[in-house]
Amino acid sequence: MMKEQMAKERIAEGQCLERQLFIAGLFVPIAGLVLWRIYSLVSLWIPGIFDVCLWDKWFGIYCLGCGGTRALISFFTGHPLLSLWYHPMVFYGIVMYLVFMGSHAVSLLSGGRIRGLAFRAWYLYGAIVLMVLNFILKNILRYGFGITMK
Amino acid sequence: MDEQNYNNQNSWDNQNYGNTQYQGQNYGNSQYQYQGQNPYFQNFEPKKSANTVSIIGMIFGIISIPVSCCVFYNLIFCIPGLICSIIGYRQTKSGVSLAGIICSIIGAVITLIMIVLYIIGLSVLRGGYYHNYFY
Repeated sequence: MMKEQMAKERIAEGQCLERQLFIAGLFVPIAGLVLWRIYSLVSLWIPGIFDVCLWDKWFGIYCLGCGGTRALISFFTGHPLLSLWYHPMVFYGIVMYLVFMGSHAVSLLSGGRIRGLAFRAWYLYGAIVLMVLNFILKNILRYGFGITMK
Repeated sequence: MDEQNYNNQNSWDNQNYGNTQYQGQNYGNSQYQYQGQNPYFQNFEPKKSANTVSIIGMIFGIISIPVSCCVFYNLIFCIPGLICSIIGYRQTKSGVSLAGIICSIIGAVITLIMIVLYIIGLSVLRGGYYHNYFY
């Protein structure tokens, strides 16, 4: 009985957490637009600062974020597979965000009858794994097979 | 008579409700002694789950690693990520908040390296713009 009670408390706690994440997630598009505007202004202020990866220029290898901007632009211009090639973590993050927010929006509209996607810590750990694997794979393809992102 | 009743009460208290009798003898197992811990919860200790601040800190921390090559731009992610992760770790002591702290620190370290290299690059440059040296 204690175990059942604790399980119910844990479910309620999880639902509260997911609801809070949903509310925080509503601000992501606004924050994204602001960050994109700052990015554009910095590019105007210092021309060419984002055109080349300094890490690649100085150390000769792709960094952990190489291709991220191209992945974002590709995704939002209707090329999701190209986005996946440029940086899988960007594609994964956008898809997870859309699935999470979509499922919880449906849950809210259905009055809780349909349960939204539960948050699991491995969603975040998986992003780290994808980033590291992408870094390793891209550099192997570059120096082992001559396949670059350009 | 009263004195006898009082004495009887004393002996009743000492024999049945004394601490020494309950501690080792009745249950025979130290695991079930009530010493400030509820024995029913010993095997059912809840996991340390992350809260919203921890998760946001970890998300910022993860984003700060690939964005670190954008030099100053990454300060938008690694500083809030570190703050949120530390707050989340103090509240929950969860693995997610700890991972957020680690990711934010990695992002901050890479950003600092990039800033140093950027400043070195600018100091080598002679009166021109960034792209004249790096292209």
